[in-house]
Amino acid sequence: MNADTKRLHCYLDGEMSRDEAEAFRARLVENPALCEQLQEMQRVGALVRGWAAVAGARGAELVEPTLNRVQNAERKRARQTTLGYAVATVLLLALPWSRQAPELAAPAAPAQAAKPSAAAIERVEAGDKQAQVFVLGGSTTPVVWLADDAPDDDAQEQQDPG
Amino acid sequence: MRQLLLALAIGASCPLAVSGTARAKPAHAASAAKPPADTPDKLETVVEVSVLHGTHEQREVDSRIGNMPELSQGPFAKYASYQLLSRSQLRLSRGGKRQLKLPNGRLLEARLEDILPDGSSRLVASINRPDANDFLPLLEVKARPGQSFIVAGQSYKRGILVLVFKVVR
Repeated sequence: MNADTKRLHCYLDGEMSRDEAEAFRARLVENPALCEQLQEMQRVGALVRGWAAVAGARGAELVEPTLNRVQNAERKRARQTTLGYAVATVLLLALPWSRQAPELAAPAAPAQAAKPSAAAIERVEAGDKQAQVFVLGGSTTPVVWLADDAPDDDAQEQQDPG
Repeated sequence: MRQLLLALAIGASCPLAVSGTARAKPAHAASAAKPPADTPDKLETVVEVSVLHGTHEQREVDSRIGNMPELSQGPFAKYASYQLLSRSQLRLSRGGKRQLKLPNGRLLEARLEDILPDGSSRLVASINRPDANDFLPLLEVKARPGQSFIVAGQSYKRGILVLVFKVVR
């Protein structure tokens, strides 16, 4: 960087005194190459400022939603914590009733607890007959009903006594 | 989220602790430690088999049958009266079987397959003519003492046979 370029930077950055700036402008008039260099630097500066403005606006677009997300996450966490403590409180309040629950206060003997309400038909093989397994209303006794297509001996005897 | 889980864990652990305390009460500890009274290492089961005959004859229901509300419901209600033909007790050892001749000539065979840890018996029954599979090749039932099951539908003398099985012990 030569002396003229340094001066150009100082001029553009406003670091010169009024007298120095006046003298530099007179020099620019006399030196078209320097003037052109100044104009080039001003164009670059304008471009940089424009980019910075766009980048700033874009940054604002990104920053605001991010901040909103952070705030939402914090609110959600607060709600969850409140909910968690509320559930814990309900469980703690339910303790007196859970102590009095019959199944806890007087546990049944294991066999009694496992006692089924009725006999269980686990398997029926009826061959080619139609089998029905059912329980009638008001009863717990299972019924296996098979259609008997065998001849009724007694009926046969009565029809054919000989 | 960590705070939520912590709070839930605190709440959930308290009832568990109390239920554990309740279960450990001395009054129940002894009974819980003992095996159930009706589940000894028994090797046999007694099954009572009542053979009923349902007919369309207008007669009183045999009082020896006892209280059987089923007989007035469903397909049983098609028959006007029921008479008790026989009542037998089959003593079954584990793996052993007993036979009972039915009035219609068929043979009821009952076998005690197993006695389960909860005291119930797994019974296997079949109803056939000798050396034939003509009616009920296989019926497998799990029942505890006091529980019953019914096998019905066999034709007999213009009516039906109703077999009532009851595990006595």
